[in-house]
Amino acid sequence: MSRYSNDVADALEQAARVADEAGFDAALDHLLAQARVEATPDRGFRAMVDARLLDELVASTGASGTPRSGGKRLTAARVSGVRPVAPRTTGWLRAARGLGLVGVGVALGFVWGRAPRALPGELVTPPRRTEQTSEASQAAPRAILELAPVERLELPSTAAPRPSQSAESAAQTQTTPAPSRADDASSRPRAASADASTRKRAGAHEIRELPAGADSLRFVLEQLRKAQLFLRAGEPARAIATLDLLDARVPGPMLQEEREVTRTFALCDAGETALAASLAARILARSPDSAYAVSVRDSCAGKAKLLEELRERTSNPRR
Amino acid sequence: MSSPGIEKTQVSSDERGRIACGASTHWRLERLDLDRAPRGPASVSVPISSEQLYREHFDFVCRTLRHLGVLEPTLPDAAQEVWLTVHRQLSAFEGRSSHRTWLFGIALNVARHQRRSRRRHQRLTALPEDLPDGSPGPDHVQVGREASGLVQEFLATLDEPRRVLFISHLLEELSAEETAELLGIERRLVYHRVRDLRQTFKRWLLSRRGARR
Repeated sequence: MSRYSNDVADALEQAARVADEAGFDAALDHLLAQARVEATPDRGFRAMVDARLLDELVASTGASGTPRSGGKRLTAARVSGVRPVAPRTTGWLRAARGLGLVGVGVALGFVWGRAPRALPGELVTPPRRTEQTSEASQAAPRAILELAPVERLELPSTAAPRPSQSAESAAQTQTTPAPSRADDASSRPRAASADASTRKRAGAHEIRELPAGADSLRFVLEQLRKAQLFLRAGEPARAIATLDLLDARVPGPMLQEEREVTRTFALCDAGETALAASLAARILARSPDSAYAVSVRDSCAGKAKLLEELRERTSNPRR
Repeated sequence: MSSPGIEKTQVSSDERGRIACGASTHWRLERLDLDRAPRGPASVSVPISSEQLYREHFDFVCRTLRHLGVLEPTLPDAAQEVWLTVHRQLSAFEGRSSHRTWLFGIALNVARHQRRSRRRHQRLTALPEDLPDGSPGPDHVQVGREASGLVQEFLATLDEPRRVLFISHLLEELSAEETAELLGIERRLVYHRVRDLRQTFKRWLLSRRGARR
């Protein structure tokens, strides 16, 4: 049996002992709402499922190009006693792409930037749950940041060299390339303030890469989620430290774009506009049609670039 | 592109027997035959695509899988299986139940299948113990985890029908009508059994404190 801190159980137990039925019911409903929020998947998870579904749907198309199962976008006509029988062919790939693009673009929704950062589940919630979700999301007070001098973790040189980040190579690659440790000093934005405990932990424990597989994927998702939650709680330094640790443990391309987008926003919140702009430029050069492009351009990084373009335009009288 | 044809279907009494809960001393939650939803008044029909279902109910499906005990490492597989099933079976969905009821049924079957596989292979995956990051997240995350843990602990004490009732109606807030459809019982029984479940939770909570002393 797991052990939990007594706070949650004690509060509910207190209500069970002293409160009337309505009071206990209200306390129980509050507990259930918290459990529901906790169980809601984050955007990293959704992106992963989106990608896997797309792969599966595309793969389900037979070698001859004809779909093996009915995958066209179907609408269920709900008439009593009548079951629609839809044609099984055509549009399978289109539906798969549609599902993938819609899923990635809408469901993953790293539409942060300066847009409202909805907690997982906020985008699709009934009114009652939205209130509870908002309440939960605003529970963490905004921390006062004390940024230590910018530094980054010493990373083990185990990852494969990163391919060239030119637009041509980015267009050719299907997946985001792993960052090269050798390139970190020159091209990778330096992490803002890993807090003292993280640095100590990094030094005290040898940072070992996780082997590829379900454990590393799970770790990536958890760390991404934690970083996002730190951002939402107003702690970009801890978000960046979390991402640093993530990159050290799982240096591969797994959800690499999501890591970089999260880091861009964290750098923006930490006031590291130049670093954010540099990273954003790399993201957009590699994937100009990325699902995150709009939000990245809308962030401080995108605005910095826009300002730069405006300056250039105004300094050059030719229009 | 040819227009979809239609054909009439009827739910036989045998099939209905498979779907409905047993009337004996314990509930029997038969495998929901998703091609033949429980008979009942037809819902107001709104055409819907699988993409729309995915957009609107992705979180609901994932939460349901978690509540039903699907382990984290296998959650992506389970979610994928649910949505592939939705793709395959949407054309056969008659609309006799709500979308959420239908999706819950699919998730329930997927979770059951996973549990059977898990028991068969006796393999549990877990994060390595030597992960260096033991720092807690923001406070509200800790509270959420504790709440979730407490609920999971309670769910483990329930038999499947009551677990399904708890998850569907109390956790995921399916309506009494949807819950009744899911379990194949009358709506008035839902209210009665939910009240009973709340009392059970209360007793469990108080006895849990006593056991910890």
